[in-house]
Amino acid sequence: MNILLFMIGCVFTHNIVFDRLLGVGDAGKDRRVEVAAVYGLAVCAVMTLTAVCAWAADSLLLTPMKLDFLRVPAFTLIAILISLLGQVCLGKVKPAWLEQLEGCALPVAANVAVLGVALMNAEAGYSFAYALLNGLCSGAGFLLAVVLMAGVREKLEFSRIPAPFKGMPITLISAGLIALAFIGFKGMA
Amino acid sequence: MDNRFVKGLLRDNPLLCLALGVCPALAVTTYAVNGLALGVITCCVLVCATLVSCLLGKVSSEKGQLALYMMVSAAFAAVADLIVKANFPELSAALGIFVPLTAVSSLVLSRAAFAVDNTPGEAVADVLGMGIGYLCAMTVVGVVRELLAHGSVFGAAILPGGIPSIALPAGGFLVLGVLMGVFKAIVGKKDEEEDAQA
Repeated sequence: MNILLFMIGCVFTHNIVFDRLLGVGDAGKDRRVEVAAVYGLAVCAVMTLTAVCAWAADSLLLTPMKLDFLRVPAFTLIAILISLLGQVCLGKVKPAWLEQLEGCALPVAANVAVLGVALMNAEAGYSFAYALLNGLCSGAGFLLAVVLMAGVREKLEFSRIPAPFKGMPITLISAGLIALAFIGFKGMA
Repeated sequence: MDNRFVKGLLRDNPLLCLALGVCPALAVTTYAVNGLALGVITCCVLVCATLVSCLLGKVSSEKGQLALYMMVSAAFAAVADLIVKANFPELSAALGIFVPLTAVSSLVLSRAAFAVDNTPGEAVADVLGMGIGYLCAMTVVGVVRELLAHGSVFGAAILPGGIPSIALPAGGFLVLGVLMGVFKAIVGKKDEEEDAQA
């Protein structure tokens, strides 16, 4: 039961974008919903794998050798390597999806949320299962957020918005309203 | 050089105009002092990472350049994290993982492309303007949000009360969105006047 609550918490209550405020700039970029879904899936995959590898590196190497001050560079390197590996694999399996990521998966590794989850796991001292679930469910939360935001932006295209508020300001204000709705999940987990 | 420096403060303000480094601006600005502190830290990491990346020189591919820049800024972010943890434990607790996360801040990474195409002097002038612009913007957001949420500025009580929900993530989105719009309206008007004069 605890695990289920933890998972719901990661996806909804502590949504990585709307509650933990990681990867907001990335989620708010102007994309079509289909492109947003591919990007969200890519971030979800890289986040899960980075969370697992970072957990392994932290608990098997960095902590026993008292090198935990190297966490940030080590986790960044892991995220870079995983995104490059993912790019090669995706190029072989689904080239069409890779095209939607503009042929380069490295910006996925530069997403704040990817490194954020790995660091969060290390600082909270999660076990392997929780680190894996945190990566997977936070990734699912990011996918949900990025698709929601892309949908909102598509609607905003046809709205009359004061010129200075076009683009990011109105996106942030709409995101604020979505975040307000997400407060409704509080008390669930 | 001067022009580039001023640009980062106003017309190309990284937070309020270019929407770079939005996540920390939403997360830590519930108190003005936190916004100011993270602004200073980001500025330092940005300047150091740019300078070192410039000196390391050009890598053959664009992707390699971004990866290199990420590793350099990760190293400086780790150093910044250790310094803050050792000297300001309370601040470190308030800022949480957003200090180490300056490593992949969109503000820091977005300057990578600029840094390699220019001389170190130009690149540093550019990021110094950007960094100070970001610092000022973070402080402004922090001041407005602290005033609205807690009725105080830098801890000094001004209003009798506040709206606690402004301190929630949703309040952060709304305040930053409105501030960006207002800032764009003011700076945009100034630009038009300058263009008309020219």
